[in-house]
Amino acid sequence: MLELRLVQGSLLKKVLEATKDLVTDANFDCSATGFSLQAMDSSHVALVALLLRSEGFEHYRCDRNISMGMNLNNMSKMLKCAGNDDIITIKGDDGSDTVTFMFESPNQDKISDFEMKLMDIDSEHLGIPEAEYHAIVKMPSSEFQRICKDLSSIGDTVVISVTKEGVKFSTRGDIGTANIVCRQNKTVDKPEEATIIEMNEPVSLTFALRYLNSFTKATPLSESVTVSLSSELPVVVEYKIADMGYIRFYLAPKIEDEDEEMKS
Amino acid sequence: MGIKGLTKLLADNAPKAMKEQKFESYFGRKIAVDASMSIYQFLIVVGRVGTETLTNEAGDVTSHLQGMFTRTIRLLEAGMKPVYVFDGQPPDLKKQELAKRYSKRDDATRELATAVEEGNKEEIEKFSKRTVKVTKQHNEDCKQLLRLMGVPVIEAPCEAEAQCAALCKGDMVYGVASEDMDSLTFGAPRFLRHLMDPSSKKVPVMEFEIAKVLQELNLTMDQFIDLCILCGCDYCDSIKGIGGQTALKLIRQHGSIENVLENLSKDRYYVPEDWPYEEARRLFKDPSVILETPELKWTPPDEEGLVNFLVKENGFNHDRVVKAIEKIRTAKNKASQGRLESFFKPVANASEPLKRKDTSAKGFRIENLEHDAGTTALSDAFPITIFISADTGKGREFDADVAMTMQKLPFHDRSEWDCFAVLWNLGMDNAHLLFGMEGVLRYAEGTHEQSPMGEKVAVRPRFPVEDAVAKVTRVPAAKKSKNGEKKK
Repeated sequence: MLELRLVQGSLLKKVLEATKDLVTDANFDCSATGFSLQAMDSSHVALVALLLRSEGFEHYRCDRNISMGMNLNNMSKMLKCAGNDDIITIKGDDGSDTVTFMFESPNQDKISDFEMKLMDIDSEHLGIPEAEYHAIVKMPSSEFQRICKDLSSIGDTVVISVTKEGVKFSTRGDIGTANIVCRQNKTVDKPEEATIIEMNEPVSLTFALRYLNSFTKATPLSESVTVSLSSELPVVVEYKIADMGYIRFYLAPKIEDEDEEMKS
Repeated sequence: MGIKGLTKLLADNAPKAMKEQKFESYFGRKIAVDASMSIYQFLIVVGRVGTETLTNEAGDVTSHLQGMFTRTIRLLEAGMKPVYVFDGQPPDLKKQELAKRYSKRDDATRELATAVEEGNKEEIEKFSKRTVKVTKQHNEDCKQLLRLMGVPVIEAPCEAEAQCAALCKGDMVYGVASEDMDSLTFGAPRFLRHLMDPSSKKVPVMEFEIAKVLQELNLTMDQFIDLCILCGCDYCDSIKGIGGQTALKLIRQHGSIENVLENLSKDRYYVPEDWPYEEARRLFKDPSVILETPELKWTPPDEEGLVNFLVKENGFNHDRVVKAIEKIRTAKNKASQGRLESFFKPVANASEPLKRKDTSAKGFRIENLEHDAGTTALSDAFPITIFISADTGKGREFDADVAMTMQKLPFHDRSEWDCFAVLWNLGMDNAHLLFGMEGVLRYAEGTHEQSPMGEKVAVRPRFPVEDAVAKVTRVPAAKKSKNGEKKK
């Protein structure tokens, strides 16, 4: 038995918009801690990890650890039918092969029930260890989105380097090159607008812009984004979801061919 | 060609063992390609209409070069690292099959001549396809081309598929690309179909994993090989009247070809007198392959050599070849994308699906079942596998406890195939009971008899096994068997 009531239903809509292009099918896991999801894209280059903590729900009932396999595109179709101010309740009965989304309008004059078929998804769950990152950059999410979009019109990959100077995004394409440097800036009116760079060690990594662009679909979820980099690890792009949890995207870096040859 | 009907058999019985994958997702992977199979495809498909084929000025066919060149560039551009494996000497057993193919080809050549005379276009198309033959020269041409492109080539001592499988087993490559299902029979851990199809076909790659195939079919590798031989392979005839489904049933029931033959109705099936299944089995299990292959190296293309070979000798368009070489270069220079698995390791997920799946036989496996010395005449290390599954809607309420009780089962002489299964309060109305001995799956129709302890269900296997899954209705609720608490 499962019943999760989320007053701020629009959150779930936004979460789906942020993930459905990256992942087609995924298992949502439900436990006493919260409602979570971990899924990789089909080529296993990027991973999305979502957590909506149980405290963030108005009502949260989950008797045992349950997973529900859903097609994100279909789920998104259903959630699009919910109004932005609607309260969304997710319901599932033991033994049932469907999940129900209930949408209630704020003044309770309209209640919709959408029942979706669940899928049997064989997915690999990866253990992601807590890590110390060489550099952590916090910046306005709209700024990050803009940079990724701009650079992808020039090249396919971006080199993100963090030095004392700031964080540099650079790309190279057939028509030329582009470099964008963002410096630390704490003198702003609102804390969300600040750019804060914590660096233990300079780091420089290359990533496919296609994926980063897809991550920025989560921009509506949060005013600011945190990018954590370490030379031996995938980059983490995190959007905090107010009072609820987070959505994190992991992306494996590009590796120079020579290195790979030596490893094998 | 390959194993008859294996694809369908797997699709029906082991759907989880096959996965559709995007072509692009194999970036960075080393792939062993069965070259002979690809060349054959190219000769049929590339630039051939009826009897007309792509040729150079001298009139020699160049379809295979065209195909090999463009398809290999496609792999390289997607970041893959192909290594081509060429057939060596066919094993003696295959010569029969090959002779058959030759005679078919001769027939087709004759038919083709008639069709050409009559000007029947459909027939021309049909028969010219069948006359296609891969010659030694085709192979040599392709090897030369690949070496010039900087792609490694391996010459197998015998069958290319077997060599590919050996490379994959030795972790030299990620997977084997072929259209021939015997790659699985040779034990290739990962087998990719449709990887070499033209991009215009838009067919996703089908990936098979042998470990999952075995798990899903619940067979050992040896049994799987026997299954393939029964289905029909290149090395020997199959038994008339036995197709994939029947073969699977027979192997599950009897465990090996020897036992199948013993139990096979002589009236219904005719087993060829000289049926070299043992030899075929040996060829699959222990094929002639090179285990110590030189290190696989992908080098930059030899531009001058390629232009000489393709443009001057084989009449390719100069500009196109130069452009293609440029493509190989850029593909090589590209930094390759890493994968998350190289950073994070898989862990078990604690969640269970909302709907607990599975009405099929999946349970636990008991190795080396011990038994009561007094009650049976079984050998000491008698492996038994017990699968119990139930469709109750309430979930499955049993676990290792059953296994422990099962250890104390009184078994009778195993020749009688008569055994008792002890079930106690499983909290369910229906139990499907499947059990096996010596790794052989026995399906049983169960009737339950109340034993003095009120918890024994006697199950007598009945054959044939069409209505395979036994239904043990209303398992009596009872106290735990005293044997149940005893740990091994």
